[in-house]
Amino acid sequence: MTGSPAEGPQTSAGVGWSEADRLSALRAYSILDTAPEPEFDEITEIAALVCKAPIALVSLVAETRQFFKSEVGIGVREMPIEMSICAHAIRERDLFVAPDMEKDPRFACNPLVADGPRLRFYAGAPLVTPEGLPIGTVCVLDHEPRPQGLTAEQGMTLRALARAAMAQLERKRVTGALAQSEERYRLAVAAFHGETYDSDLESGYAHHTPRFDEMLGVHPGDGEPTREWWFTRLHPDDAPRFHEALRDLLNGTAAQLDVEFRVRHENGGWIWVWQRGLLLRDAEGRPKRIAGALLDITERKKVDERLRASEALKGAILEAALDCIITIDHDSRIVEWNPAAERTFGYTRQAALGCDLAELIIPPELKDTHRRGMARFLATGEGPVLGKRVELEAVRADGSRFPVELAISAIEIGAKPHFTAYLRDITSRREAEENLRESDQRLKATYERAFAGIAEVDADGRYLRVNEQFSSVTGYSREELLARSFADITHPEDRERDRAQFHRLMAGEVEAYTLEKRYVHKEGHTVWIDLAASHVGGADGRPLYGIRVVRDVTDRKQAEDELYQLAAELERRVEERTAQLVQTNAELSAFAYSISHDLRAPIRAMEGYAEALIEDHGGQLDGEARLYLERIVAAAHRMNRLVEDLLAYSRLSQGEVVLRPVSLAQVVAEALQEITTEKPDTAHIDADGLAQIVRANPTTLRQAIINLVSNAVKFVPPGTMPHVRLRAEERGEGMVRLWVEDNGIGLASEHLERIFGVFERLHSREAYPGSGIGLAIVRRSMERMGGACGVESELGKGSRFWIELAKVEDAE
Amino acid sequence: MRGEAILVVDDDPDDAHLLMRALRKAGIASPVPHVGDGDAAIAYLSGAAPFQDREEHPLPKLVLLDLKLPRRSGHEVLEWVRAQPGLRRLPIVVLTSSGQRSDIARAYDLGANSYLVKPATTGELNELVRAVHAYWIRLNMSAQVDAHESR
Repeated sequence: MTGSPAEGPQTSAGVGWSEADRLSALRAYSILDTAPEPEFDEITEIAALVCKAPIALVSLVAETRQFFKSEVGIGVREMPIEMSICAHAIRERDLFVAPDMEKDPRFACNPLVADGPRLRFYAGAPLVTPEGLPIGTVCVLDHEPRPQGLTAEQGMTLRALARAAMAQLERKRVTGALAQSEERYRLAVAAFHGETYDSDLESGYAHHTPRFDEMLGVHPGDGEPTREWWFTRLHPDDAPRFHEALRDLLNGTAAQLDVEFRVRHENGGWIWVWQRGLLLRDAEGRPKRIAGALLDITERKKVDERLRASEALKGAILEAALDCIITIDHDSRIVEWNPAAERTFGYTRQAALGCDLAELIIPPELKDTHRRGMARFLATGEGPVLGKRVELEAVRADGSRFPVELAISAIEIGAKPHFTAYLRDITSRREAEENLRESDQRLKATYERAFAGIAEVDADGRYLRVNEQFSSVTGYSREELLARSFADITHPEDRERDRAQFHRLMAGEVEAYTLEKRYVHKEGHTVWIDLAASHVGGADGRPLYGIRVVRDVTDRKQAEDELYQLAAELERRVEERTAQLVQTNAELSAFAYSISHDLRAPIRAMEGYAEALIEDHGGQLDGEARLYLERIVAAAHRMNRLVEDLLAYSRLSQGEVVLRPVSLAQVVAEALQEITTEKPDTAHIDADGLAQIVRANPTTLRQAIINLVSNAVKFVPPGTMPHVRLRAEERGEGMVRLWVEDNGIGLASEHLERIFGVFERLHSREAYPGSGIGLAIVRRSMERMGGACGVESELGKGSRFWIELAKVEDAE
Repeated sequence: MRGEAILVVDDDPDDAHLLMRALRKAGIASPVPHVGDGDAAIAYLSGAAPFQDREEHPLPKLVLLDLKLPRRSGHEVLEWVRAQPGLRRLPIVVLTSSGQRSDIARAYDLGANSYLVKPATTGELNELVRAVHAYWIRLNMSAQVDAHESR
């Protein structure tokens, strides 16, 4: 870095100036980084021309770089200080010439010499300030060495150009400083929102600056420079005050003019101005001029206005506030006491202001605390209660005490802090809280002393809260229950049932459910309970926890069980009885069998021997003996018949009667066949149109029809040919009625019911033989087949018997 | 050849008497031996004492068997007969006063060839006897029966 001026700044002993002064001087010219100017470009052009050099510069050597105010042939406006040759040149008092820099050890390594532009020749004249400080050069450079240096003429020209450049710089510096000073003044006045004035009292001429016009919104120059014009713009309300102030100034009452008033702005509004001025007198002491300043204070006035409004608002708030607002100064003296405070404490504002707060409303036991708190804050700035909500007691004017809630804030007014307390009588809220607490306790008492067990469980069924009764039902203590879920103490057989329901409940699918279930008591026995489960939802309506109300129904359950057992016992007894009855029936059956077998055998013998007697020995008997024998035979026949009918009837009562679809026409045909085979041509019997199929047992039905037709044929007046007609009638509800109508003796209405009973006879055996069981068999047959029977008759006009059975549709 | 005997098994002497009278009246010449209980019936059929003499007590072509018998019932006799290799094809007609369905079914189950209820009147009895003889003795072809076949 040979050639660097780095050794320069502080080692300037040999040159008579310090680098710091030099740089300071350079800064004063404010030339660095300014745009090219013709005055300086002319200088470089002349230098290049005269010196016949390809490069000419007006170079200013700054701390880290050199700046070219003007340049010819180099194309850049600055270079790093390390490459500067001028930095060497300025250390010379006069012209500095380097004929061949390549051979000059100071510059041989300079990049401008060694590489790049390969400069060889340099000649520069220093720019020296009036204080003798070199700040740069006017220099020329060439690519060729010039062993002869510059000609004398060229040297002189270069020096002259350096002086001319310096003169230019100096001129620019002075103009710049003036402009700056004016600018500063202008800025100061602008910041002041004011303008100066100077009014000549004799001529009435008042000088205002363009800014003055601007302040009033008047086009510059349009404002008349007269006092009268000024007076016309005064606000009517303020004009008297202005004139008074002016008068005071002129007659010497006031030392200076100092007045605030409104003047009209060109836009029609008013601006506030503050005018101050001094009266200047002539040699004779007569008032000559008033000079001073005008300040636009509109903004300040607005602020004042806002402040006033804010004060008014604050006052209104204090007035209207429901809370007591009390402000005290640092000495605990009351400075604010709003109407709410008046109402609450019973002291008027008048009475309260200036009093010590502690003496006025603070209970005796808290006075020390209050004073210590104040002292502590004043000493340390710490106030534990400041900004917090505090509840304590206060005292009214009448000495009564009541609860208050208050918040205190500290405010700085002037140097000393003030404290404002916002204070509220919370008597009624306390009462409400008390009521709530009481109701809460009542609820708790109810909960605890309820006859039902009550438990709250979380979403997993774990107990969160249980009442005493719940403990007593389950046998577990509260603590034991809180470590369990309801499933833990539920009977295993009921567990899943309850769980499933509970999950639905907690999923919000159901609002509530009830269940009869069992707990396993801590002591191991089963406890039956009625459970009513519901849930409590959160703000979003989702179930938060479950409520389970249980009632011990073990007693009821036991009663139910007993009832159930009783019913079972009853059932068992009925079964027993039924079994007995079945056995009895079986015995009866056996009895009937015995009758059929044992009773009929002697009848057969009786009949058989009587017949044998008649057949084998009839010839030896007289007519009477034979008649007796015939009567024995007849009696035997009757008895046999009787036994048979009884058997048939008893058989109908027992055993199963199997029903199937039966053709009415076919059964009737079979029955009639049987009757006419026994007694052919003894009756006229019609049967037609019996197309129906009925549900019946064919044998039983046939027997019933035989009985009816036999009766119809039998019960005719002597000598009458029986006429019997069978016909079917379809009744409602799917029934078919078979009518058996005769031309017989008929029945008296009083007998219509009786005749279907067993052994019921209306006529002597001699007149109309029969066992008296026939119609009983008919009725029992119909009953067993789900049908019915009946008769319509009138004495002497024939009878119309009917039986009714369920009709079977063809589809079956 | 006296092989057309009809064995009557009936405990009621009146019934048996009137039955045999009816057979006689119907002009049936077959011998009609009579025993009064089940044991006797089995003894007769197996040729046990006092019925060893087959000349005196020939093996019947038909048995008319009552069901309600002392000692051994008609059903038991039926069962025994059907269990005897030499006798099991012997035609047996039940003739009883019971018309009970259970008796009828059991009789057929045990191998009765027919089931008849004792008629209530003499006229009916005569008719029955004639029909039985006509059918079972004259028309029906019976298998060879030999009480000692398997012995």
